[in-house]
Amino acid sequence: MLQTILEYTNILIAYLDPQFNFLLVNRAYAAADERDPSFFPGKNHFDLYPNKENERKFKTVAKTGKPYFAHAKPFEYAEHPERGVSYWDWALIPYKDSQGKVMGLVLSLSDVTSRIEMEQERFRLYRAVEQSPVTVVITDSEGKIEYVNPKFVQLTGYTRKEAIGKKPNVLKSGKHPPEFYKDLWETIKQGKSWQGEFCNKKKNGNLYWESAVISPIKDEKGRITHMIGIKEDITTRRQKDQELDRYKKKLEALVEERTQELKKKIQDLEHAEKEIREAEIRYKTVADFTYDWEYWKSPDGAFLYISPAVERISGFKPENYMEDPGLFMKLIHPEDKALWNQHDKDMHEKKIPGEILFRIKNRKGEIRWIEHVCRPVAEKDGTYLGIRASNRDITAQKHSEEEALKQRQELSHISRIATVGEITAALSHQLNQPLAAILSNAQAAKRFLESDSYDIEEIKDILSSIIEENLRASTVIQGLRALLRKEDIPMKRIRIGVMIQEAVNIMKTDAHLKNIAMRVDLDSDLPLVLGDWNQLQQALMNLISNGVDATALKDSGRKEIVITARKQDAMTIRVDVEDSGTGIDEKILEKIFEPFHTTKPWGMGMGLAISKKIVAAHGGHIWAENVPKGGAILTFTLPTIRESE
Amino acid sequence: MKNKDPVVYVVDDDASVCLALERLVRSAGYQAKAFESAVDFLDHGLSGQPCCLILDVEMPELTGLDLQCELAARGISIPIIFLTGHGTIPMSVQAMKTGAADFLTKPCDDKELLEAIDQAIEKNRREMSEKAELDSIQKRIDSLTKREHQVFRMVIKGMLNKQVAYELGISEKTVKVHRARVMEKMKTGSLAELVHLAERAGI
Repeated sequence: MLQTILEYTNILIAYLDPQFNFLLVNRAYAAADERDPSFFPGKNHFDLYPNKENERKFKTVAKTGKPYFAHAKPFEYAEHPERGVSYWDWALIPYKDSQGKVMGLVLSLSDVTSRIEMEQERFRLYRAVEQSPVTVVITDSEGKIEYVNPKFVQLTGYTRKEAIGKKPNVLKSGKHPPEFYKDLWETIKQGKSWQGEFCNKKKNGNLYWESAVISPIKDEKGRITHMIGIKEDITTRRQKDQELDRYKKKLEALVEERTQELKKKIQDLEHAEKEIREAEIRYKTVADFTYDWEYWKSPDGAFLYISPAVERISGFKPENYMEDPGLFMKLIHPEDKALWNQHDKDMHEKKIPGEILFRIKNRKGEIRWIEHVCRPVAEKDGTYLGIRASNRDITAQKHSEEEALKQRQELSHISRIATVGEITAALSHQLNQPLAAILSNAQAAKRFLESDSYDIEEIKDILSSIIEENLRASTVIQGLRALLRKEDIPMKRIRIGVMIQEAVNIMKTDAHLKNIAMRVDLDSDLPLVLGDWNQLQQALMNLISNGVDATALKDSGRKEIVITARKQDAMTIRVDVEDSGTGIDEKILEKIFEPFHTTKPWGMGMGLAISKKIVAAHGGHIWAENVPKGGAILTFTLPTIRESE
Repeated sequence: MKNKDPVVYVVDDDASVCLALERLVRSAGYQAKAFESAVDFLDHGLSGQPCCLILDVEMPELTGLDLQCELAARGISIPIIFLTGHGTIPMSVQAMKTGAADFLTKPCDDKELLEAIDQAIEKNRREMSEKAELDSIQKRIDSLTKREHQVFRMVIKGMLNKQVAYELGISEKTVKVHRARVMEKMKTGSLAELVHLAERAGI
């Protein structure tokens, strides 16, 4: 019976002698090694399965007589590692005789591999739950907590001890209505998983959000034994969502606000546009009826507006200007074109108000004087909109001005003061040019003739030029003669004293400006002279002018011009002009009355020459002397007439 | 004709004077080109021959002194002999200060004018040949490689080959090769000549 049991048990059993030779093995033992039980008897255990450690343990049992047990001892076939590791419960029991002597060993091995593997599996699962980053709560079917993982403890603040035995409603925040929980329970009771988001309360009272899956755990029969809740803390995510939501709402509000603003702006603009249209009509009416020619030119130079008055002034209608943008320029007087262009350029570059006076030739060819005032037009923001201009026809005003100017010029002509210098300068230049040409021509001709070969035609040309230039010079001289009117001096009786006084009055200002005093010393009973008032006055003024210039050169000391007039003898009157200048170089004393002789950098050498001519024409003499105390005296004499003549 | 090359430009707004001066210049054997305004002369430009300019001071629009300034502004170098009907001291001082070759009053003696022309042309010829020479030296200097230029600069400072080699971190033998190339390119036979060329080029 026992034999049969041993034979058919799943436990591997072997009976060994004290030297560990097999005496007997059961079927299971042999089968584990895929052999027949008859194979083993007589063979040594450690010959078949060499293992030092096991051998030691066997020896200890044999020696001490104490049995050895091992639980789930791993075993691996040394020659067949591919068969994997198996786990065995060991029992090595000594069989003793009545004296306690060990007679043999019974080795029984039971395979616990599947159990061990299951345990390992369970351990892995447990660890996974324990270390899970999500909260895991397991309750019994009534909802009492049986297990919570460390994440639960960390998140809620409840210790495992505090949690176990309680229901998860300790976490209730009160944020959810009773229906919420009702729905949850009904879902679970139906054996289904419930999924949703909770707002829960921690032990310290803080609220937190979690996303949860709560599932029933059923036994084989489908009865709910437990419930498991797997929950994830989504507080941060929810906060972010809420924040995003807030931003979204804020953005929407802003968009709405902006839309309203724009709507308002559009309304304002429409309103403004209407006002502008109305204003435009008003202003256009005003502009169209202005007396002056108004216009507005865009930055690119095109006319935006021209008032109808343009026709009155220029003879052309506004549309003529619009059609031909160059028309305006065409009308401007050729002499004023440069002026206009400069003004136009300035306006475009500097963008400041400006005004000029220019002439146009109107449709009829008449010259019109235009007073042009313009200013740049800009929007409030500074955008340049072109030039707004007003053109006033001031032709009539200009004519009267010109008339006045002419009269003034004639007046000054009469006074002669300015012309003395001007005439001499002009004459000098006019004579100089032909003289220079004659000289160069003559000298060139001489040189050509002296060379080995010359072109006779060229010599002829040169001689023609010389003749022409000579005529040109003669014309100048004739003009000078005409000016002096030597041939037909209208001889009149002249009170020389009055003439001198008048000349001094004319010259006084100039002398005064140069800090020079002027004194007149006249004999009371000067006789009359016969001659031309203007010419004699010019001769005297040239002498005075010379004296003023000479005195002005002096830096310090007396600065005075003294004019004296005396009867030299019964037939002669003598006029002295004494200056207090530096005097005249003795060497040139004789030459100073020669034409083109000058010592002054600005002088033409004409003044004294003209004086000499005039005096001579009147039958008088002229000369110069130095005075010992400094300065010079220029003197002329004139024949007198008797009162009776 | 004495010399085909030099040109005398005449600018005077008075057509008669202009023609007379042109004739006088030709009678002395020079080529003459006459213009009745400063603008015409500027438009014509110079032909590159040795030349001088006889210039009237008193002209409408662009005066003689204006033209002088304009020529200076354009970097045109030409000796100018000014002619004036009534030369004033300040005017002539200004003209001479700004580089006028001479300042004569009209009407002027032919000897005086022709002498001034001779001197001006000679001056211009000298300036031109000097400029040509300087250009040629500069061209030669420009033909040096960077290294040769360095050696050239050091050699004319009087540095010995050994010093140059040390300074540039190259062998003395290489310096000698560079130096020979410098002498060849600068077309000089001696160090003294080389130094002279460098001085001429303002180095």
